[in-house]
Amino acid sequence: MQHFVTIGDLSVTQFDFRSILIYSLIGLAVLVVIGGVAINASKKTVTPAKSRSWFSKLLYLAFMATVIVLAGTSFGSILQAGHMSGYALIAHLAGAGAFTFLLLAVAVLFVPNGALPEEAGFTSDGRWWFSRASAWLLLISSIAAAGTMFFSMLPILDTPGLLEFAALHRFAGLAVVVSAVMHVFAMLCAKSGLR
Amino acid sequence: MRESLVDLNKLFPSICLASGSLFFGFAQRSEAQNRYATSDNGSGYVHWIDLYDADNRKIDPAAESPKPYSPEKTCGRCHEYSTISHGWHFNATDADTKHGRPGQPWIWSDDLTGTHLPLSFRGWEGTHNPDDLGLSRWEVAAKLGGFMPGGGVGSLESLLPEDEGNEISKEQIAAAKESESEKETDEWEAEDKTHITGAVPVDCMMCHRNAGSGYSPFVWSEQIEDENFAYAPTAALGIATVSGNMTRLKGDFDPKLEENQAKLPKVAYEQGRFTSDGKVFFDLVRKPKNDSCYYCHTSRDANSVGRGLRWMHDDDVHVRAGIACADCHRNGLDHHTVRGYDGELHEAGGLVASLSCQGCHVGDDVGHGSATETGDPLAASGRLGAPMPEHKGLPPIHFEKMTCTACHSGSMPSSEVPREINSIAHRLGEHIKRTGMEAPAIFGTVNLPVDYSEYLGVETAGGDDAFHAHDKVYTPHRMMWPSYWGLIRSGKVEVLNPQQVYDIVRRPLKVRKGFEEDLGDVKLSLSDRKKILGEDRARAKEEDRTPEEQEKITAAEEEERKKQVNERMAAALEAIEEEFPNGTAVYISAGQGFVRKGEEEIEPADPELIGDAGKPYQWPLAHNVRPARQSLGANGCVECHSDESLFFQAEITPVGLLPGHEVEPIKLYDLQQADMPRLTLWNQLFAGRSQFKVAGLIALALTCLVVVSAMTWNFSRFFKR
Repeated sequence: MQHFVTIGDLSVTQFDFRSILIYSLIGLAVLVVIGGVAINASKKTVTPAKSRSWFSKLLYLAFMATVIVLAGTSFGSILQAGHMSGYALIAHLAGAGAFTFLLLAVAVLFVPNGALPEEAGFTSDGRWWFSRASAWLLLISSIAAAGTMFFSMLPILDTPGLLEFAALHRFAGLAVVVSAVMHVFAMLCAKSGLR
Repeated sequence: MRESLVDLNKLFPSICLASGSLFFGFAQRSEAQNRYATSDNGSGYVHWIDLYDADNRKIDPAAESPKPYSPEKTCGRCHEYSTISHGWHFNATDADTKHGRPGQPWIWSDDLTGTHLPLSFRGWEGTHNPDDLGLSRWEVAAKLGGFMPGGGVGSLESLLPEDEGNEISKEQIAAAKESESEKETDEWEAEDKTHITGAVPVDCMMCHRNAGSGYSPFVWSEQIEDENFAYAPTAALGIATVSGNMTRLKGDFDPKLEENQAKLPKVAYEQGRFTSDGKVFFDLVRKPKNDSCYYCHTSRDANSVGRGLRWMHDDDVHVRAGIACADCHRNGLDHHTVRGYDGELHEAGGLVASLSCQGCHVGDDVGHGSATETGDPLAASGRLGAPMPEHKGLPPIHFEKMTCTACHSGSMPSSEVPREINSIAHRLGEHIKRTGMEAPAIFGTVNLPVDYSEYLGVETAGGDDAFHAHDKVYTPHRMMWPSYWGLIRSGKVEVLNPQQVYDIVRRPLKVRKGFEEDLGDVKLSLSDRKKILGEDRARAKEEDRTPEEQEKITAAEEEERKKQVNERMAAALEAIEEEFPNGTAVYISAGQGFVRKGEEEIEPADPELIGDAGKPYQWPLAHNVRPARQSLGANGCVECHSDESLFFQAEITPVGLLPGHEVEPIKLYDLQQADMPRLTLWNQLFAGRSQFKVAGLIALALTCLVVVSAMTWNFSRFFKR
């Protein structure tokens, strides 16, 4: 019997997120190791990136700390129990509030402005394409992660819609983690003068 | 005139052809097959039928001593009596039945001994099996059968399980006589008058009567209490008057002796109800009317009783919409009535999945045994036009943590969990004055977490399933604290047979009207009043006393009451200990235990020693269902997610029957064993939630603006190059 693809078949809730999560995290770890080794082996050295202000650094660190809390509470719970509940959920929600406001600050301070390094007057960590790409990915996935949840908090979506958005939120959250790791990696490379 | 069975069989083919499974829908889904022909017409079959007695002889209303009609022999001519009589309402004593989620217990109440003991043969945790207590099946049938449709515990196979053919033999009558004569000298023995009363017949009309047919279920109840088991269907149907009762017949009475026939109840048929050829019109319906269900399944807010406040209460929203009890609580020929909770094990397969709240209202891919899971079209949701709830903005985790009924059913939350009265426990149907505060005290609604894994029909693996098997799910309950007499032996409390207890304690307790009322009833003697008020004022009437004098009298009465309760209870406990010298007698009430302290005093027993013996029995409720706008949470998250939430913070005060003994209220979160530090922390997240949503959305919008601006600028720079 011929099976026609329906909207229901395209639903993200049909994917086994737990498996995707495990393979994504393993893949990410492998890529970071391989990438680090490859970059280190290339022996390419440039002038290390100029330091940002202490305030920018603090906001960036706080943002990354919330990402760690959010990822730890959500993915940790999913890997351990299949779903999030209890103290993990409380910590996730508390962290999510901070994440939303820190995201705005990080967007203002770290969004690639497209200026050439010489025009900007300093050695930008955005000079490497990988750094710029990961920054864009981080911002967009963060907006998606926060947006899906904020939208779900409004009396708009019904239960199937909420379940769909919860699934989207998980995938967006995974994208945040992947892009955050990529961005930190890129920042460290720039900072150490490897790129 | 009596006709032979052969002749009778010639009279019935037309009836057999015309009735049958129309009377019992869904026979095709059940394994049970109807042997009889059916009419299959939606208009039903009009039952002008002959009546037959238990000996299968046609009833002649003009006969000298007509016998009561037998539903088994009358209805059973065209309907599968043996199949029907093993359905849900009749199978409590059947060990092979899957008894599922706990339900309402039978409550053995004895107002003279302060006993209110939840009983069940179904093994539900917190109930006591009458067999284990030493109560005979006959005693249970006689005491509690008034609010059952017959059969079950009172059936012959229950009363005489080892007897081949379930016939009452001469040997049993002889054994009963012997046991009765030995009673004086031998150990206490449970009463069993099966050989006199016979079994309790299944009365089809208890459920299948038409509204306004004249059938009186309360007459049935009275007849059962009078031990006129075989006469109950006839009297309740209103086609005859039954005079006399079997309670006065002793255990050694032989109903088969000719000289004893005059002592048996008499049946006088209303001859005008019979046609010239001896037929009677049975005003019945295939699908039971709500009124029939209500006779045994009414629960009412205790505060509305006797105050004319019933008009202020709405019915179940489904009933208001025109849906009958039996529309959801259906059964096939086998009469295995669907109970309707999610995951119920039932022979009807997929059909039952579509008759739970989720199965009917939510999509076909939700709930166990759903249409998607089973591929069974009968499991399709949306029956009877059930709307699909939107639950806009309600996080789906609520469906993992709570049943539908937790928000939609039972009483509205209040600071003190209200009391309820119900048909079976409080004999509703009897035409008397009530206060609503009659014992046993039943409370509702209390939301308690339930582990459904043992009731679910299928294994579930959690994950995105909306109903995790391994999580506890908040479910609304009714609950009662049992009160009974027991014996502390080998470090635990054994429940004593309440009938035996009555024999032992009735004298020392000196209770005539009611346990609580009589124990606490004190009147100061004139000499006592003289001591308190002096010679001159001792004879003053209550209304003539000064407030100070009345205060003194009240204090003295209180002291006297305390003394009286102590003395009588101590005497009763001592009497039990004399009967059972190897244990310590205890009286359990409101979760506490009381033991003897010397000759004239009682004291609370060590709670550790009492253990779970005083624990309340609780059973889930499903009705009345409230509409969406009156559900829990309709006014926002903080209805539950706040420190003042009545869901957790409401109080319940067990009702103790011992006069003068205070009982402390219990917070619901203690009963729920809720993690209050976590919930308190959780509540903090809901403080200022609306403002947070606004601020968060603004921050998110600004972030989007920054990102879009940066994108635009980057693109413009790219094209400039």
